[in-house]
Amino acid sequence: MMLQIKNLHAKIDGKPILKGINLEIGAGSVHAIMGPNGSGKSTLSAVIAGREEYEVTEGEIWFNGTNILELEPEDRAREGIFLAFQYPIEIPGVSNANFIKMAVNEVRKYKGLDSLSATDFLKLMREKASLVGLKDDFLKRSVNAGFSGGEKKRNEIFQLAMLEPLLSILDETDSGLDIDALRTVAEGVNALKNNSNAFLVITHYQRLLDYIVPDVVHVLYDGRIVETGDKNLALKLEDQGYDWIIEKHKQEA
Amino acid sequence: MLKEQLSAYFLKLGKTNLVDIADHSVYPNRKVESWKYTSIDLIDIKDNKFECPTIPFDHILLDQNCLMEGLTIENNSIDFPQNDVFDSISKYDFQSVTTFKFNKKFKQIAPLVILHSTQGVQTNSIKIELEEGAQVNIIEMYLGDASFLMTYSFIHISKNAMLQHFQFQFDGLQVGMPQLLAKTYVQQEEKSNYQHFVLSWDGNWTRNELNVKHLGEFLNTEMFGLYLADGNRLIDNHTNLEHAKPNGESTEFYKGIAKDHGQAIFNGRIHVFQDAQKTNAFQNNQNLLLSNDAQINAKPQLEIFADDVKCSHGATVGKLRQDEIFYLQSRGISKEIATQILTTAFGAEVIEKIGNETLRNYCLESWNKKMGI
Repeated sequence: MMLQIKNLHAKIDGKPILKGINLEIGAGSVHAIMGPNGSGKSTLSAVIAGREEYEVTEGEIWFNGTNILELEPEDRAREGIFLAFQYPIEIPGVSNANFIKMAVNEVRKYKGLDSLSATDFLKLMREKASLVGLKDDFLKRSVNAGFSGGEKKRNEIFQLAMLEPLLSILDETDSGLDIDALRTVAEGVNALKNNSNAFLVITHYQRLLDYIVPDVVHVLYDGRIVETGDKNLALKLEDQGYDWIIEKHKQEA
Repeated sequence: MLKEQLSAYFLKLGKTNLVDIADHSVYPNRKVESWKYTSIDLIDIKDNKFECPTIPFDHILLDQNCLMEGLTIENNSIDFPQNDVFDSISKYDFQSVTTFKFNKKFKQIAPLVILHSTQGVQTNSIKIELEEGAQVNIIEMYLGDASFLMTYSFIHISKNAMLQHFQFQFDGLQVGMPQLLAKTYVQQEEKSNYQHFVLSWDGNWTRNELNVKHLGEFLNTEMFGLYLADGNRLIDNHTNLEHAKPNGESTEFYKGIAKDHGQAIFNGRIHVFQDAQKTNAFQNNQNLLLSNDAQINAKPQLEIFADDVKCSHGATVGKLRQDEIFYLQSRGISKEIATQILTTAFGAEVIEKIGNETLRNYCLESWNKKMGI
């Protein structure tokens, strides 16, 4: 198993958010996590990536045999975990090219690899930028500064493509995207899928899953995974909403 | 102490009248409101020599020998302000100042650079006049290894004229920076534009006094500043904008960083006269405080006497945001480097407002280098 989460509990500001998550994701698979607002979806992604504000009170997260709860966020990234943010931040004055170069070289150094040559790097950046429909001048612009919502999400997938992580977590990547941008982003992700990597797609709506088809769909409610199924579960949620989930599981909550 | 240093220096040069002024004038101290946080005791004057470097971007040096269409150079007398010992010294030193007069025939083929080159103690004084419809870019640059430099820039912008004015107070030329007192006095007539950038991150001690006065209606003033107080550096920005006429617009955006034992001061006064209805004045000052031993004193000072105006101001002092640091960490970048990158980016936001691409890139490169990026 690439990712194993066992009985994970986490809280922020003293308030419990995750209340016993169990999840296993193997290489070559796409998992989706759906759930009503406030169920803990974004918290789960933040805790896997190592955000400090969340306190893990119980449970374990294993990634390719390493207990990553001990690792700093940057080391989790270097081990191959990538989080595509719902709200990517802006970094004025730092070009996308320089930013991704720093990131890629940090990861390569960690793996004991040499830095890429300037020419190889430029070629790779252009190839990956075109994959998500970003023009060459994007590389010179400052990271996300003045970007539209769609451009920011494309940039997340560009960074994903450059860093070639093993596990990619897409946190509400579909929010704020029009249908064209959604399709481009999804096509980018599909082009990057292979037998040795995995994707965890976090979304409130089923719409993204029309384009990135999941092997497994989980429903998160009140800090626990309460339903697991195939892609038909997502369709059922699209059709019937979350009320039946809430009705069925509120006794346990 | 500054008094003893100035006195000894003038004596060495045989300028006995200046020795007298240095010895018998009143020096700014903490009891004077506008100098409350700005100690002159930190000034330590050296008499270091240096080689004059080449300026690494396309430019034209603006000096008394400059010949260009639309530019005339004169010597004029000037009314010096009389507020402190520095004014007294400068008034004595300058019976007349070099005046650069531009008319609308002037065509800017490259930015004009005024080079303030100093050794020991020096006062430099210039006057810039834009006649009706003239459009000019001017950069003031400062050279001097630990010298003490007082500059006075008197600027008059006539109707429909536009001045972009830059003060590069950093050691981009790698010869050292003076300790600097830069006083700027701007007068704007109707429908004129004044855009000012002050970028200040080298030298042991810097104080800027920027005074802008509106003489007419429908004009625009933009003031941008970036300052860094690192090591034992003190940087002080005092701005004073006089919205004296109706229908004026102004934007003021200053960002500052203090770390190590640095001290930064921002005092932004905006005075909207009773007569100045329909004024739009926006002021924003953001500061990053990165060490327990560093100090920032930020003071927005809005004095509004008109009732039909839109004015806003905000001053913040804070730290970097955790979610921003986390974003970089999640890309494999260590917390330490993430902090360095974000601090650099915090300042770069001001530099990115520079419209001229050559100057913007030069300043960004210098800033990134300073910040170790």
